[in-house]
Amino acid sequence: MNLQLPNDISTQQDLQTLTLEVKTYASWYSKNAIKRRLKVKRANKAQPEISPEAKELIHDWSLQAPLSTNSLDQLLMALESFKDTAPQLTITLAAPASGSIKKTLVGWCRKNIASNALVNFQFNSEILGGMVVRYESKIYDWSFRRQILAASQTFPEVLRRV
Amino acid sequence: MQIFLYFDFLALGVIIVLAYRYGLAHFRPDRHDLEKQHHDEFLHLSPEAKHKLLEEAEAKMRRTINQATARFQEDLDHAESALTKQFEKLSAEVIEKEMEQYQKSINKLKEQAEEITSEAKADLSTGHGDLKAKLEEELKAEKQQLISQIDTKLADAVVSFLLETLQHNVDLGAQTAYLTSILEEHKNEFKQGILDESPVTK
Repeated sequence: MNLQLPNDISTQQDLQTLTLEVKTYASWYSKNAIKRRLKVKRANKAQPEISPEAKELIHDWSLQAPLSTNSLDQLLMALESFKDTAPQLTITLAAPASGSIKKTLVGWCRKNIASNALVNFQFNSEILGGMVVRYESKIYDWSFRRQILAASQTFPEVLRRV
Repeated sequence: MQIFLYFDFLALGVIIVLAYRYGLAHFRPDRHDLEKQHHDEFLHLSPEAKHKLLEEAEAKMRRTINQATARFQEDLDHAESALTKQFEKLSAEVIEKEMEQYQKSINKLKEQAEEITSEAKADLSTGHGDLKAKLEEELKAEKQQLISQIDTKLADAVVSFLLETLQHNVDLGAQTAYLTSILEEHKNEFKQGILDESPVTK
């Protein structure tokens, strides 16, 4: 079964939180299932509060296979596997990124680079704009700062044409 | 010099006269005896006769001397004029020769000086041209260096200004499309880099 994380879950911490929530839900679901099977009259414990992302994940997972203890366990295994194999990128922007920007960038990375990509976001106002992307030992500097510094050699030529 | 010549001719005249008299006495002794006899007779003459004879001899002697003197003077004058003419001629020739030599030396020196001057002028012109060209070349190089330094400083100043000014209040909202366009533009390079680091499949 194919695990597709919501684009709101971008970082390793988000994934861990999500995993914890799914684990909590799976635990509650399992206990509830046992009680239903044994026809225990005691009132079922209320469903634990989980985040919309966790709800969305569980809902998408249930579309692939009927929700059961087994399927939730498989989901947890998939999440663990995801955490171990996901390529982790770091994107540095000029200012703290909003949720929508994060979602857009994460969505692009999962669509074009790797479906299980995790993206950490940082900010550094000195880059002025654009982004700096780092993966393992590779660094891609597509910032305004680098472009301005690279253009400093041609600045006198431009000035003469003015 | 004239006085010396005059004196020489006078002495010569006296010597000639004396020589003539002695020669006469030597070759005509009778005359000498006659003179001696006359001298003896003269001693026995009356005082008036003696005085008269003495006066006549004196006059005669004076006439002879005057004549000789006149002749000497005339000869001396001739000799003097001839010598003077010869001296002037010789002097003129010597002076003319010396002047010719002097003029030749002067002309030679003049030519040498002109030659040296023209060579110096030519060297000066050449050196001046070379110096001017070298100076222009150095000025041009220095100008280029200064322009390059100004360009570098100006670029650094502008870059520093931009970096300092634009790093505050950055708005990412307007950059969303730009950010995705950057990723699209460098997609292949990005994917290759990730594959190089670890074999990740999409």
